[in-house]
Amino acid sequence: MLSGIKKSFLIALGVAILVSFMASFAFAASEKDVVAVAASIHECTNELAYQFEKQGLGKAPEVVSGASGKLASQIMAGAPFGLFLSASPEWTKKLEDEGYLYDVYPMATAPVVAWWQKDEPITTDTLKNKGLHIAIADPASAPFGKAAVEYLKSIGLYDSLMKEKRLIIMGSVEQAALAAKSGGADIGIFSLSIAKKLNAGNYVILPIDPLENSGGLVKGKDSENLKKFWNYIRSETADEIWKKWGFEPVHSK
Amino acid sequence: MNCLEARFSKNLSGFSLNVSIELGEEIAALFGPSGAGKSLTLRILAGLDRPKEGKIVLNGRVLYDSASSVFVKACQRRVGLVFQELALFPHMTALENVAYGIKGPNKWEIAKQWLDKVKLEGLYDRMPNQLSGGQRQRVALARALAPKPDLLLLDEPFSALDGPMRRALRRELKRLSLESRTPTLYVTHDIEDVCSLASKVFLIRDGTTLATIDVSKLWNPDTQESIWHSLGWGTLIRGKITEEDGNLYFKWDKGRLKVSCSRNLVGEASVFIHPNHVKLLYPDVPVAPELEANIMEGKVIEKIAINGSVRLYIKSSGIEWHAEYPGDSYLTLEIKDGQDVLFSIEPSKISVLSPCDNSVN
Amino acid sequence: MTSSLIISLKVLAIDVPLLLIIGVTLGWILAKTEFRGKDLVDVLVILPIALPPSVLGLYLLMTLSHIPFVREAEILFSFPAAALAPLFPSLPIMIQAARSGFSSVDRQLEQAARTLGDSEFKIFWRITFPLSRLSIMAGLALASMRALGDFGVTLMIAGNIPGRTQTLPLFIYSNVEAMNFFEANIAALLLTAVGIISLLVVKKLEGKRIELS
Repeated sequence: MLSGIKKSFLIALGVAILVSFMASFAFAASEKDVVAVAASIHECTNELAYQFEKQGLGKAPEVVSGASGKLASQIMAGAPFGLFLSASPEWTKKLEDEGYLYDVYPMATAPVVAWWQKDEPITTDTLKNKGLHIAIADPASAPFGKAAVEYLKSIGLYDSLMKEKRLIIMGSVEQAALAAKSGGADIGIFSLSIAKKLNAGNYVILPIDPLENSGGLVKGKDSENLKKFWNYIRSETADEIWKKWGFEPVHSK
Repeated sequence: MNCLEARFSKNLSGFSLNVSIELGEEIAALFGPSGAGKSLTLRILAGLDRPKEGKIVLNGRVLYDSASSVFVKACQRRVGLVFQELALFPHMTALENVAYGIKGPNKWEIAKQWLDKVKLEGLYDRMPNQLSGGQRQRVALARALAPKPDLLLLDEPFSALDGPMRRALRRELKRLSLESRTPTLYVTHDIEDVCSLASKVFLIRDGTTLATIDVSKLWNPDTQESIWHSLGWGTLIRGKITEEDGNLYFKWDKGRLKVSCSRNLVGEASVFIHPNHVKLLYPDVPVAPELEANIMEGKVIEKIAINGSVRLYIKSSGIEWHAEYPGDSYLTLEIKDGQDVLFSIEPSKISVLSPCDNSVN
Repeated sequence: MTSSLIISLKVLAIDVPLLLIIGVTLGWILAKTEFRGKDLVDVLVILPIALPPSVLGLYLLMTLSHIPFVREAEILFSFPAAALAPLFPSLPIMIQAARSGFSSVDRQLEQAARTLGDSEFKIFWRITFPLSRLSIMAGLALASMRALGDFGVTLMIAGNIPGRTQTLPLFIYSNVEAMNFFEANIAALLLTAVGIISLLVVKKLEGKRIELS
């Protein structure tokens, strides 16, 4: 049916695809370990990884950050993350129950803050000012977003914010911070660690329980190196770094 | 002995092709009005188009046979084709064009020889867009002949050329074709091209080959009448060429026309007038200078509208004149059957056919 | 940023040859052949251009994660996925360019070549391809730029993993998100410079093509 030229083209096509495909596998040379962390723990983990390697304890893993819920879905879809650090136990518990995670423990607590870039101090009353736009992380996938919504409801602000469309929902706490910093929103509600990273403006710690950060190793994707890393970040030698970023370390085991 | 024997038919929308051609080691013309199916015939012979039914045999090889489902692909037919638009490869030099179809280690040598043969020596490295119309034509001719085809086909090879060039190329073609002994078939709607070059002419009209005529017999008055009658196309008149006060005229029993041909054609002759050259005149508008000499008055016998053109038969001076023009011309004249009209023909557009040895004008 | 640069370069190294070979083949088939269902293929080929990248990525993700072989070979969230993802939005560009290049070659030239004894393959190499080379190269430049700059589809099926699948565009995104604007700007400048250079190349090729015709 196919004339000679079409046949030879299709063959060349097939060969090219096959070769390229296999080549790309070869290209994917050295694979480092990857740890998936909630956006609020991003900077802190970067520093922990750096110290981990500097102190000769092992090789620093690559750090991928995002909203805890999104990372959890990726892990369930087979993403190559060996260690998962979540901003809340909700996600680690879910993964553990479904058989993806093991060695699950809390490692720190993280306060929730409201931040703005103005020079004047900000208080919980400031939130109630009229006409302000408030950026939060997506409550469906980010623990900080969920906490923010709960708080706003508790002070009776949620409904009016929603009605007047002044509540800006971003993908993760890092994005909420970006919104507040760039002026897209007046105030951002996210983690203390991010406020510290911004190193500008003013913040107030919200009067709610700090979130309990919890993490676990991913079955089948972890390594000896990552196990060492997981132990390291829960050890006392790592306390200083956690505190620097506004977390309160939690020791267990 | 015939090199080419072809008989085939094909149905297209509103058109039915029925062709029968036999050709030996000679040059033949395929002659008829435009739209008669001439180009299609060439394409079918070359293998670029497929008929519905028929058989084509070239030098004993069956190229096509619907009965036994044989169809040899164009690239294997060894049929050379010179397109009307020439189709020279724009990204190749003249030499590369000519060498294109030649196989073997000597192809560049052979190609150079061919270019020399068509008087283009030294122009080997020119690109087609650096050559004149006549030069391009010769490259196209050389390119088709260089691979030594079993059959040479040409589609209106002279239509883009003017008088002297045309005559020169006709001579070239005759020389090359006879030298290489390649059966040659060319398409034309110009009667001069037929008379000057071919030994045989196939008449085709509305898709059907009507007759095969020996060109030498074209001068036979009886043959002429029946041909033109069967073609039903163009105006043919028998008469004489005379010279009067410095001008040349063609006279027949009932009229005369001023002509512009060479003086040595004085004597018995026929003239042929292409339908597009019979021009109608507006009664109240000044006439173009070239039409002043041959103004005639006649009556419209029949007006036929076909495919966006109008075909008109006018009776005048004892002759039935055949005129053809685009449907949107002469609208204000409101031509109808039975109407009186004024018309004229430019002297230079009158083809004089002399009975002496096939040379024209 | 170096690792993202290297990843992007590797992706280009894989995609450019694939774009050329697949694009030219499919472009030729669409330009020169007729077959049943051709209209459907036409639509499918153009579709990725009309879909938003995230939709394209989503469909790909859903399709791929349901093919058993893919799961086991761990293709999603891996470099092979990052290498192949940009092909989906950029192949249509290449195919269209190749197709229009081939279609614009005078059919009579190809027919003349046929009467001079050339098989279809030879005709392609000696006539069709040389005469449409400029269009193809211009199309390749544009398609390659699209592949280099891909974000949505790559993100969906390869993820944003530094050192593994984080191409330059993804690098920019992550750094903006983490508010490392300096790094993000440098990477953005780099991509912009490459984009401008390739546009200049395309312009030059187009200019040459108009000259020749």
